[in-house]
Amino acid sequence: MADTLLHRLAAFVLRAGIRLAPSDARDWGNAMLGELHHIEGNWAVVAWSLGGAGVLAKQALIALLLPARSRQAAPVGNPLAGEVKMHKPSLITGGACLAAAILFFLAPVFRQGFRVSLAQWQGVIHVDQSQWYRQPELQSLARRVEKIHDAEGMAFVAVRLHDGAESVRLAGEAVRLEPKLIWIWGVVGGRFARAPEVPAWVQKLKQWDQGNALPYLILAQREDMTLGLNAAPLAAWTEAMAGAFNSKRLDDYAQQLQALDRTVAQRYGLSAPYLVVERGIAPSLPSYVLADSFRYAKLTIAAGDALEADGNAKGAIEKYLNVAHCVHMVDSYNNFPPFVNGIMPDVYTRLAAAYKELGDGPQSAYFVDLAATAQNELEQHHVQWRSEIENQGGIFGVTPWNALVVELSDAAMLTSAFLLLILLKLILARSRSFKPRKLRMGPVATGVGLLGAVGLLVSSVTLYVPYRPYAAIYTRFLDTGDTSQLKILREFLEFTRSPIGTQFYRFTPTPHGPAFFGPYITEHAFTFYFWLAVTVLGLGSLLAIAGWHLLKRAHPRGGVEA
Amino acid sequence: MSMKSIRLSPQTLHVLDRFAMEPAAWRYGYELSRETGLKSGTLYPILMRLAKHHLLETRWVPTEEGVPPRHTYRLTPKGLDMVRSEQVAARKPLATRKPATVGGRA
Repeated sequence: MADTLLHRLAAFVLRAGIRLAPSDARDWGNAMLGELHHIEGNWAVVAWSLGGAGVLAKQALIALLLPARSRQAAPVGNPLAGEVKMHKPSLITGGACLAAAILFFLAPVFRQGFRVSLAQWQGVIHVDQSQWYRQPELQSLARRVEKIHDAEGMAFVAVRLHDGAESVRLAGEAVRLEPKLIWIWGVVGGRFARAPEVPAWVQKLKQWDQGNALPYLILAQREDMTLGLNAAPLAAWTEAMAGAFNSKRLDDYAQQLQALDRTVAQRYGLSAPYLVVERGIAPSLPSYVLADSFRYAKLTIAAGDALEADGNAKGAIEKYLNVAHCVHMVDSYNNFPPFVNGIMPDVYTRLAAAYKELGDGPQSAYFVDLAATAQNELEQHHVQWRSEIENQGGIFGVTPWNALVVELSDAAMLTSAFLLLILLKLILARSRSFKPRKLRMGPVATGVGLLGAVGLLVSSVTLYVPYRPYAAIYTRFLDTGDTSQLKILREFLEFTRSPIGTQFYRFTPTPHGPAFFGPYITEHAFTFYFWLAVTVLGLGSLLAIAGWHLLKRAHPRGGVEA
Repeated sequence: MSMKSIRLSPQTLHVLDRFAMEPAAWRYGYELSRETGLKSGTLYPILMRLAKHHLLETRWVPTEEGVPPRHTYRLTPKGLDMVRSEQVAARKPLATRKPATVGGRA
């Protein structure tokens, strides 16, 4: 044999294969190595070596997956068959794993967790978002409740539907059947403020629930949605916001909603928690509340400043106190502290100055203290808010980790099930029989089958274990109305709705401004790479199949295993 | 097990055919590969399986110094009996038969 670089490389590859091979196959590796010295041609040597290394690697894999088989004596009968009957211990192990995995589905908590874990694929598979709009599960429930004229059921669906017209129709019908449910108009009206029914609903709500700022905020939102947030405020908007600022309280009917959620969920046995407790995408407060409040607060402060400049300190104080009252009212719903209540230190400082002008020293000192306290609270709140987000979204948060484990388990379950289905089809096609005794599969197929069954069982366990505490929170909410941990469940559901890996957030400093807070992987990026991988794998498989067929045609006797 | 029920791949049949031509001769792996057109990745699993079922016997042949010994193969009496039974059963050369997995049972 000529001692060229390719020859040395070929010998190296084959020796590596021999080291990898089980002891009973090493002689055969040496046999192939012995022949290497008598082969003519550089590329022929390489091909020989690669083929041999492949055989040895396969033997190593078989020994790894089926150690008993590699040690067993020659089987009796059918010695030349390319396939063997399904290996009994593997069949028993695989069957047991499969049966155990299927048994998991008998547990309601597991079925619930599996449904939750499937939500991650909705945005990936339905790229056009039509499914998001259609909400088949809710539509089905809507048909059910309408059939039996269940007003509470209609209200439940109405506050969740993404289809505005349908939501408004159901809310109207629910109140017609059960007038006590009129508060539902405050929720649905806030979500679809531009609906033609809303002005009439707001009028009735004002009469039914006097002193609540909500109907006014809905009207203000309606004006905003018509004109845009940047347009100069119209009299109607100003009037609505003045009504809101002069209201005694703000009630978004969260208590009534929770009671309704529990009643309907129990009545219809709704096992999917995201249908019941997740209303993040359909908040009960109108979405423009913060922006409107901030805008009107600024206008009111400016009006106060003008009065103060005219020497009307009392008038100015009235305006500032009005702002302070409204900011406190909205504050309880505010998840973004630096936003609306960020103006509070400024308002208190102005109040202190106005009282000083009136000669009321104690009141002035009181508001000076309040301004300092508000500033301090604001800073602490900001730090806490940022820390909370980092903990929830960062790699140390328990909830995103649990969500990730559940999502990965779901992906592993689907992959294992897919493997088993493909394998079953191949075995049936190869065996041409449904009789278990006649089913035949090679050792690699046995290994893959075993891997699929074990994978299905392991992923079922890893889905069940981290999901169980969240199922307990949901059950407690339904049974006792305990809402203390609903926030954790909502966060978990939100994370499991996003595809794998998108639940991890980070602060990325930008060169020209504050740090940008966003996910490591965006949902759009995940969807793009997911479909890219599917396309590449699909095309790769097609090319491999086409290549295999072409090779088979060109060399009908070679290239295919005995 | 009846010989008629044995499932043979075309590659295995081809290898057996080559052995049956000169049953007493010891054959090298590379020589068989050239005669049958089978690559090492296909040929050696066949040889391993035949040897495992005692249809082939093997031995190592020393070569010149510095070159590894070579592995050689020939049919055992059991292997020869089986090949002949197969040939009689098929009444045609083994190499021309279709594989069981493609054209039904051989």
